[in-house]
Amino acid sequence: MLRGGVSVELAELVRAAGDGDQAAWNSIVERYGGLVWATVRAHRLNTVDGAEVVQTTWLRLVEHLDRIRDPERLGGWLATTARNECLRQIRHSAREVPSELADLERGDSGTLDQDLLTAERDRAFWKAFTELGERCQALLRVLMAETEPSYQEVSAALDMPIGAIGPTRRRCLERLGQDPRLAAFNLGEAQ
Amino acid sequence: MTSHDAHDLLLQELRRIASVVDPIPEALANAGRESLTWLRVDAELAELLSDSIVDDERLALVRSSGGVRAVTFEADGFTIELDILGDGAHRTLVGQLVPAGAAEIEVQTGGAPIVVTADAHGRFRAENVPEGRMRLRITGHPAAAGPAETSWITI
Repeated sequence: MLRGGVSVELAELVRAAGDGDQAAWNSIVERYGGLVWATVRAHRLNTVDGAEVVQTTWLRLVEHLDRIRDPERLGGWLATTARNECLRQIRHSAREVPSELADLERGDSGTLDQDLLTAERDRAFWKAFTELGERCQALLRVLMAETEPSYQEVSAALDMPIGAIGPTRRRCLERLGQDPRLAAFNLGEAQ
Repeated sequence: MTSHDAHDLLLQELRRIASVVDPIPEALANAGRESLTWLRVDAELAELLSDSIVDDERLALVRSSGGVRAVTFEADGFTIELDILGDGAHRTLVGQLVPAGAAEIEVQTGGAPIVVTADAHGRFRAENVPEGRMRLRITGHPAAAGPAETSWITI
């Protein structure tokens, strides 16, 4: 839950951005960029389609800056918008006859650059995550957004009832913690 | 340590690893900041009201490529019905303003805008619109108080 001060601050940022204040707008993009990106990834969009959705989501907010009635729910609004744009983008891409180049560009889906993970421990950890069920991966991907999202934001990002988030989170993290590959690294155990 | 704490730790680890393997691309963060450039200055929003791509799932599934996509925007005082035709690098837009009325339509894209006019019946057509993101700016419609700009859509 957001405290009064935060919602006042958000309301002020939304108002200032609507007046063209670039610094206020940057704060909003900074604060919610992680949530929007995580929503896109939770919907398994590749980098090309994902970038399209993120940009459209920010443009939607720019369009609606003078119409946001509940600034304290801005995160939820952005997550809902990103989710809707994901569904639109998925259908849009499905209609296209992809060119060879587009195929190449789009071929990165799901194969993130694991070489970036220097520690073997991190590699094992991420591998275990990517082998969880789709529902678990989607939920955890949103929950691990750069700035920890509220359950209201998670609910909006995935169209999942708020009441289902806690139990699903518990079940998914339990499964992840029990992955035998992580046992060697003492993950999920007391440190 | 409770399982609750252990779960929080697991999630923290995932967040840290995600910031390494799957960070927000920097170019995308920049584009996000730059999108404020598109803040409407003098125009009302013509909001995206319907889009056959999402609203008509049956159609979207039946049609392969090249089908007609129909979108509707609602401005203050009038609506814009738009059919998007073709695939490949360019689209043709066939539009109808309701109520009917002449107006000037500017198709704003990533490149140079394309200007067309709607006739007295409110009909307009724009050819060779590059695929990608676009919006329309409508000025001079008799039912509108001022200029209107549609939501951005990707065509």
